[in-house]
Amino acid sequence: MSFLHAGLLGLAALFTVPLIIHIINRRRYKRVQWAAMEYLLRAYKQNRRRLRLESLLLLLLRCAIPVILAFAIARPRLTQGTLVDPLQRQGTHHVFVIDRSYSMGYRLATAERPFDRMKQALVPMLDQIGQRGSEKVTVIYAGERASVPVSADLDTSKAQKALARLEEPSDGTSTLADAIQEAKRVIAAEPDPARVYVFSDFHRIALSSGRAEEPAIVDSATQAPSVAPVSDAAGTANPPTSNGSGDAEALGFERMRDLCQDLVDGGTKVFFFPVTPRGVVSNTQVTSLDMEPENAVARVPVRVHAEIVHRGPQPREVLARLRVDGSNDQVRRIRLDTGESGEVSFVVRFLEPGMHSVEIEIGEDGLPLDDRRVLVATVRDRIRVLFVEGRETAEQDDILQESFLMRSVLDPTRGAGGDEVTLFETSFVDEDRFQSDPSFVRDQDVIALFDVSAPRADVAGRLASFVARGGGLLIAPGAHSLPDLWNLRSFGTAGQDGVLPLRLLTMTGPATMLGVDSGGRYSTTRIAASDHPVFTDFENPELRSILEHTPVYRFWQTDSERPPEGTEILAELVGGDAQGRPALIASRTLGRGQCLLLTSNLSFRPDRWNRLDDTDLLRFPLTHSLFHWLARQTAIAANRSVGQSLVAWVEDKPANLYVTRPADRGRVPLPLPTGPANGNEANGWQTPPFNGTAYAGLYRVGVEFEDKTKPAREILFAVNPDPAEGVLDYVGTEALLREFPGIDVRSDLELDLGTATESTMSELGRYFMVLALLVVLGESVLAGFLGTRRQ
Amino acid sequence: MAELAERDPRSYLDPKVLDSIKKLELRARLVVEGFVSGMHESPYRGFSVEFAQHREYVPGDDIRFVDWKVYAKSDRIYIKEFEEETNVKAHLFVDQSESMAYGEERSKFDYAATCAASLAFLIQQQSDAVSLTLFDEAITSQLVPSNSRAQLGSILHRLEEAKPTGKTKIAAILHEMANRITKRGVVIVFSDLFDDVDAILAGIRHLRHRGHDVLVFHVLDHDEVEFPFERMTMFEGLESMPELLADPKSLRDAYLKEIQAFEQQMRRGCLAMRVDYQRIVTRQHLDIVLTTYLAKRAAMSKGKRR
Repeated sequence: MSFLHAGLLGLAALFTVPLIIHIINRRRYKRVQWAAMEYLLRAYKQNRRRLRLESLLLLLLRCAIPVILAFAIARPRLTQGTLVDPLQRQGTHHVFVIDRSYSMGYRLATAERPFDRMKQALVPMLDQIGQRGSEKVTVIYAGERASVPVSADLDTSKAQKALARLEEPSDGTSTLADAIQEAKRVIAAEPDPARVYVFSDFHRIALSSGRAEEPAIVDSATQAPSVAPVSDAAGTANPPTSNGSGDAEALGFERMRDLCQDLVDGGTKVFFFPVTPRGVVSNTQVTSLDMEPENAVARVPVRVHAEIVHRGPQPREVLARLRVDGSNDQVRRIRLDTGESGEVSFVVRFLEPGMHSVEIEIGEDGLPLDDRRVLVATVRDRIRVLFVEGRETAEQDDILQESFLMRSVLDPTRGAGGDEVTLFETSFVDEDRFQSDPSFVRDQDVIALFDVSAPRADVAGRLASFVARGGGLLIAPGAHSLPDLWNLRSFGTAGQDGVLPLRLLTMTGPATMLGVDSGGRYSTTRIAASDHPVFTDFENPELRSILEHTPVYRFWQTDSERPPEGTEILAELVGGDAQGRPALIASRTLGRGQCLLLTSNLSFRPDRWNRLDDTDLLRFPLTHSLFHWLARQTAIAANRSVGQSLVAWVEDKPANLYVTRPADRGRVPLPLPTGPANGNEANGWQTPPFNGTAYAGLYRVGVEFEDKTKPAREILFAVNPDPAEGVLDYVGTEALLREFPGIDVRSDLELDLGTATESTMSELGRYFMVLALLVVLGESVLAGFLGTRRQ
Repeated sequence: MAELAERDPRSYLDPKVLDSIKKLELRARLVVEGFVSGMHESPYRGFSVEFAQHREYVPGDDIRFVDWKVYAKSDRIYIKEFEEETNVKAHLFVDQSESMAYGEERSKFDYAATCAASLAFLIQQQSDAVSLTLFDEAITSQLVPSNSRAQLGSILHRLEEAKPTGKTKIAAILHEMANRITKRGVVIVFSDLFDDVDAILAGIRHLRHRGHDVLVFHVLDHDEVEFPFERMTMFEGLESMPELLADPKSLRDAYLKEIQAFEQQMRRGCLAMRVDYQRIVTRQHLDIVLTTYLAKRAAMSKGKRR
């Protein structure tokens, strides 16, 4: 049991007052010489026990009143699992939740930033607590992750020092619900009654967003089944988009409300201190920076797009400046009306393969952080594609090979290269050599299997590992493929690593083209996932119509009705022999890579299965789309959001690791990995996660290798703020009062801690107060009854 | 407790009281013995003034009382008998034990003494003899019966000299007096009767057995009847009784019940023995008490006689 005001328990000593009055009354009597003593004594003896009992009961009730009242105003609290400890130190536990999101740094004209107003309000409050003594202070930073720099400390100077060190808001968003969750945990660990003060601009995102999921890279790194050497790149995933809308918002809002309600129900008083900017807010921000195509190849121009949103009362002309590797400025102008978003595009050509930084910047406004954005482009010399031809067709003429058409589309020079710049570097191998030599899997971005009879068991595992660590795999079964072996070794179901998206059933359709032409029975295609990147070029309705009406005569029937988890059907077949809408194209995600199943291959063979190769209108965009999408997974985008971890992969054993933070914030050493990824040096080394991405900008992971012959290198990471934070959509005081009943919303930023303490009453305090009233009532009734009887 | 200082013996005779009772008379309710013809009924049938009855002549009768008129009419000899009226001897027993000293304005003894003096005056006025016995646990003072004029002065003097001290042993005194007084008379007891009730009643029974007309004046203080105390009080027992510290309010009901039971027991005991029982509270006006009582007694005596 704990007490909110343990000192007031001293009032319980007032129980002696009735005792003293009783004793004084017994000593202050008058003397009477009494004649009828015999009868008085007889009356006394007959009633002695009852009289003593009544007097004792009355005295006990009178003594109990001050004791119970003292308990009531001392506000006892029962802490779960805590026994009564009379020596326990009692005092209020003050928990300060401080919003560090970058919207707290918004400056409206010359007014103070919310962050500065918060600090100014906190200083006197901490002084007050320090003067009161014996009161604990906890400071919780609400940022990308809730952190607790000061936890239930009686020394308020620590909180003051932490506040002094907090010079600027972070570059990330904040999740108040996570911070409240942390507050709840800290409060539960302490016996003292607690008070929570939340200082925030109460940006809608801060209230609505829940705990963000860890990036895929961290998960895969820690589980590490799919780690692999990556030549120049660090393994990262695309930055998550947190638009803070829809169901997630509603869910996050509910979570915050539930957590606050839990605290209030537990007897904790919760205060909201909104430091929302006063006046009309205005912000222009860069919300995205993308490169098209994502698979940049040296010397091949790419287009860089930036989206700029203007949120302000007046139209604005924005000057956007793009820099590549810190130079090569390009400038675009765009005029944006209120609430309008616009896109500016730049054409960029990277001359050298490797990692390049692309940075866009617009003129600074009240919230400068989102006025710039950075992108890391991983530029390859070419996209490497290995074509594997089935043994039955490998020996035939090139044009009769199943892979010939796609090889020709991807590399028209057919490996000659020369001055002609091509995106893809293709290589060819037959099925038997591929299955017997594991080295073919290495150093490839995409592997395409055509009419392969079936992968051997070890090759199936090797392919799964290749995809899981980010490779792309195209499977185009042919007339010589063995479905049972494919299904046995490569069909992936939920929780298994199979690369085959769907179970192969039977080959369907006429055996020869002659039969096809005479019979006239064929199926057509229906695009099932029209927004998939594979069909980007088919957004044109005419082109899409051509694709969908092209005849398909032969195909592999698949079990498409119940695709396993991780499999998506992108295009399906309808009409003709297609029963139950079998898939034409199906994809499957495995680790960081993708697999594609093409049930009817594009080829130049006379007995070709379809007419998808008939015109360049179809075969070029379809083939390029398929391979670009497969290759995208290997072109790792080292682009992260503030707060996300940075993990790099290197092929050789590192001797020294460090992280150089942006804006001259210094260099941080990184611990060395304890061993190669997955215990195999062939998989390379994974650097420990670096979590200190509190600032937006360009991070450089420096690597020095144990093998001194290998030059040191830097791996770039772009860390950008969440654009949702720049929306500056605040939840006002009235909405806070409405949405969070039971919370004390203080817009004046001043709090008399004494008043706050007194206004809080624990559950047991109320019960004791009721008990005290009952005892007073009981005493009155008993005294009245006895008095009436004695009259 | 009332101050029992030196006082004029005549102060026991309140003119107002005397004036109110002088027109009344204390008659013996029962027949009493006496030598001087008076107002009290005698147990002896003789030749006095009041005709009582006729009876047949028997040899030896005084022929002076033969009713010749009856003889002339009926030729039978009858003797006329007359009731003899005598004077009475009244014995005043006044309790002077310590418990009688209780009283805020006027002690019970004071009140009893005044009452006894008033009755002595009345009795003397009737030419009857009156005696006084003062007692506590023993007889402390006694005056033999006399109807002389000096007797009243002696009584007053004895009363004035008396100091209420000592324990009470009423029963023993009553038994002793019953043995001492040989001729029937009127015995008037003034006491708070704080003694064993059964023993007191036994003493009264003894007196009745001797043919005395017994009057009991049960003298109580107002406090003893009402128990009006409010504050915590230390009750110090008189006559060697222990003391008791108590909240009077909490004991009031029980005490009153006890004291009323005691009174009831005395009243019933007296009633059963045809003894006049009169409870008097010291706050009552004595003239009213005596007047009421004597008038009631006179009325009862006449009724009986008719």
